[in-house]
Amino acid sequence: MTFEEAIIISVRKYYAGQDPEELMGSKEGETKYTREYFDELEEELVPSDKKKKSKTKEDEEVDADELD
Amino acid sequence: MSLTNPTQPNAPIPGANYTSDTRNYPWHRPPDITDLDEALEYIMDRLTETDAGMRYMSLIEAGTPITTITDMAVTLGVGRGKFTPDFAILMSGPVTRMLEIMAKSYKIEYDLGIEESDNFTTSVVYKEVFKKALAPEDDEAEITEEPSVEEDGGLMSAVSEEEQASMLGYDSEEIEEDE
Repeated sequence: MTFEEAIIISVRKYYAGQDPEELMGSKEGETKYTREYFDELEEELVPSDKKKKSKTKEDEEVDADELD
Repeated sequence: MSLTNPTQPNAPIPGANYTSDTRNYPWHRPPDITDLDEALEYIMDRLTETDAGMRYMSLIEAGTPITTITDMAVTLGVGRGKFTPDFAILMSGPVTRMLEIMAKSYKIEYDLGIEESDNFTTSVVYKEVFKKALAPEDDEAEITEEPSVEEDGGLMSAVSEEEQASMLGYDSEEIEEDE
C-alpha cells in the first residue's frame, strides 16, 4: 500500500463516520476540530438552502414588523 | 567511479551510513507536533494565511481530487518535520473536510477522490474471452498471416544471403565460385 492509498482509505473512513479514537483519546482536554466544529464552520461559510429560506422568512417578518 | 578521475571513487565510502548524522533531515528528528488540534491548526494557518490555500483551490478547480491535495499538504508537513507519516494519515480526514469546506465557500466544483472503483470483471470482458476461446480457428489464421510481415523485410527479419555475405566481407561472386 502506498502513502497516497493510505490517505484515501483514511479519508474514506472519516467520511464513513469513523474517527481515530485512540489518537483523540490520548488528548487530555477536549478536541477542538471535531465533526461538529466543521459542520458549524461549513454552515457559517456556506449557508445551506434551508437556513437561507428560514432567514428570508425571518427577514420578511422583521420587514413586516417594521412596516407596521 | 568518477569519469574524469577514475582513481577517485564517486560513491559513499562503505559504512558511511553508520557514521553520517541522520539528524540532518527534519523527518529524522522527533516531530514538532504530536497533538491533533495543533497539527490541524498548523495546516489551517497554512491554508488561510499563505498562498498555499489559493494554490490548492486552483488545483481543485482544475479537477485534482481533494485527497491528492491532502496528500500534498500533509506530506509537506512530514517533510518539514512537523508530524510523523502515521500522524499525517490519521489527520488526513479532517484536512480533507477543511479543504472541502474551503472549496464550497469559493463555490468550486470538487472531486473528493474517495469513490471506490468497481472491483469486478464486467460481462463485456467475459464475452470477449468466451468468443476467443470458442473460435480457435480464427486465431490460427491470424498467426499464419503474421510471417508475411517478415517477408516484406521488417526491421528484425532475416537478411538475404547476398546481404549476409556482404556483411561478412565476401563478394557474391566468390560464393558462387566456391560453390
